[in-house]
Amino acid sequence: MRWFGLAGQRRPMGLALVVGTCALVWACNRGEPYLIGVVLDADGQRGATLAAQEVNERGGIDGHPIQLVRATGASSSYAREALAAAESLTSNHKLLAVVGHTNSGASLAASQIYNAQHVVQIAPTSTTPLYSRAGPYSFRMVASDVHQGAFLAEQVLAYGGAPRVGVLFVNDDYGRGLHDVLVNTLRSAGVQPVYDAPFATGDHKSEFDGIVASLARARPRVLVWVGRSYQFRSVSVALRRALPSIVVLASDGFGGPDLSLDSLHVFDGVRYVRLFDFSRRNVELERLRRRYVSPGFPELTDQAVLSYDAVTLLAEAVRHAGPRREAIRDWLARVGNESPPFVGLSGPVAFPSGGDRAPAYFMEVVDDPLASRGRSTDSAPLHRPGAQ
Amino acid sequence: MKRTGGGKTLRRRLVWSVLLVVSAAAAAMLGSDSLAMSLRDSVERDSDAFMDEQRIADQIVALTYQQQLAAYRFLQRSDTVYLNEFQGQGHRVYEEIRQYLFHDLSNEARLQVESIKELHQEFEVAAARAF
Repeated sequence: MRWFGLAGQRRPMGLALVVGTCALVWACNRGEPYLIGVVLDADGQRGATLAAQEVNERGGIDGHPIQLVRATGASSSYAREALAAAESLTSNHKLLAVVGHTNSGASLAASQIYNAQHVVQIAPTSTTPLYSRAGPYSFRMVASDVHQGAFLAEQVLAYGGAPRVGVLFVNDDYGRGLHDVLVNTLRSAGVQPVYDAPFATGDHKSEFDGIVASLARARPRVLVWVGRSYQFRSVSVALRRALPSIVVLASDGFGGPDLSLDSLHVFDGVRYVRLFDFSRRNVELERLRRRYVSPGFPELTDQAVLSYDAVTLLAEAVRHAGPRREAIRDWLARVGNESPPFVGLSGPVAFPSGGDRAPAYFMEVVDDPLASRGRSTDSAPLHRPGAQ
Repeated sequence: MKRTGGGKTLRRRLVWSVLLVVSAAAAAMLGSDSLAMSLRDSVERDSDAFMDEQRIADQIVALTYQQQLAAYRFLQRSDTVYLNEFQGQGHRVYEEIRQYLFHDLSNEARLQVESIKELHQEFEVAAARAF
């Protein structure tokens, strides 16, 4: 039977073919996963995974499940790994957005690739002030360190008069930015650090021994540690021996799983900045805590909660704006501006000034000897209200 | 920990060698990279943007040399004026490198400049220890 020779039979069959094809395409697309890239440390990955699971348990986004695409090199703060991860993720044209990276330097390096490819990036814990200039596709779940630096300076000045303060900072994109704001704020208040020195990301105990000796000669009363806890481990014992009464204040980078796995108690007594008020109790946070805690993940971390919120926020963006990169970006840019803030487990999420979240900081003490075993948080949360 | 004379000399050599590597890397990578980019993209790219990148690259190299000079002077005389100059130049180098990284770069060029930034940061830590 020749198709075109039978005009009377062509239209119904052609229409059926078109309808059938559309139905087949619709059936194939319905349920096609929406891809979100993840470049995070283990605790952040776990938070992101739990968020994706919960979205999918509720039916996904209009029937489309979220699928997380993990990139390697998440825990590195070096640009090589960050750029490789960004290139790998953005080569997938179905990828809608990225949650990451863990470290400020990595987030900053990768941000230029994400912006060039119009892929939304939400950095859960990257605080470097420079990230505010990363581009219109870069957002973060925390405030810029222009605020944390001032907050840390306030904590130092709370020790009265002009305290003798020492500063040790990791000389990378994270540490430099925070250090500069901190020291400039102290100087404005008439406090000149008696010791101020950088260390490298790759430094080990042998490098820190000389630092501790020099620090001890300066006799600070307060030490501000701008860096991560795993490196403080190399300093702690010698520091306590040389300066038994020293007060240690640490920046937000100090937090993480290492604190919960500190069997030798080398972090005891350190007061460090948290980006989220863990003393606040609510049903949803407790529910996440119960799901999160497992072997290897003893406690919720800032990154875990903020990564969870980032994935949940992205799910809302895709739900409202559709699976298009530019539309997702535009929707996020309106959060807290033309549209209401997003209510996350970490509190209201809004981007009042570009992609930056409004600042809020809390101090927590690691295993305060005066409290019951475990963590204690200052009873009066210390906020810095207002937008940047 | 008391430094011995030999130890101090070794530290100085270490600082100088790192300085030379960083300076050479900065000059070679930024200069050649800028030239290569300009040759490849001269038809398509905005000439103003290119000139801006070239200015930043030149500034980075110049500031690195100035920081090198300040380090040398401080090692010779331990005058805090030179230490302040060293730190000030370091800030400017870092700011210029970051400014450069906000430009439109190929992935290879971006990795090169990021590597220079990381080398420079390691150099500053080494210099601080030597001081």
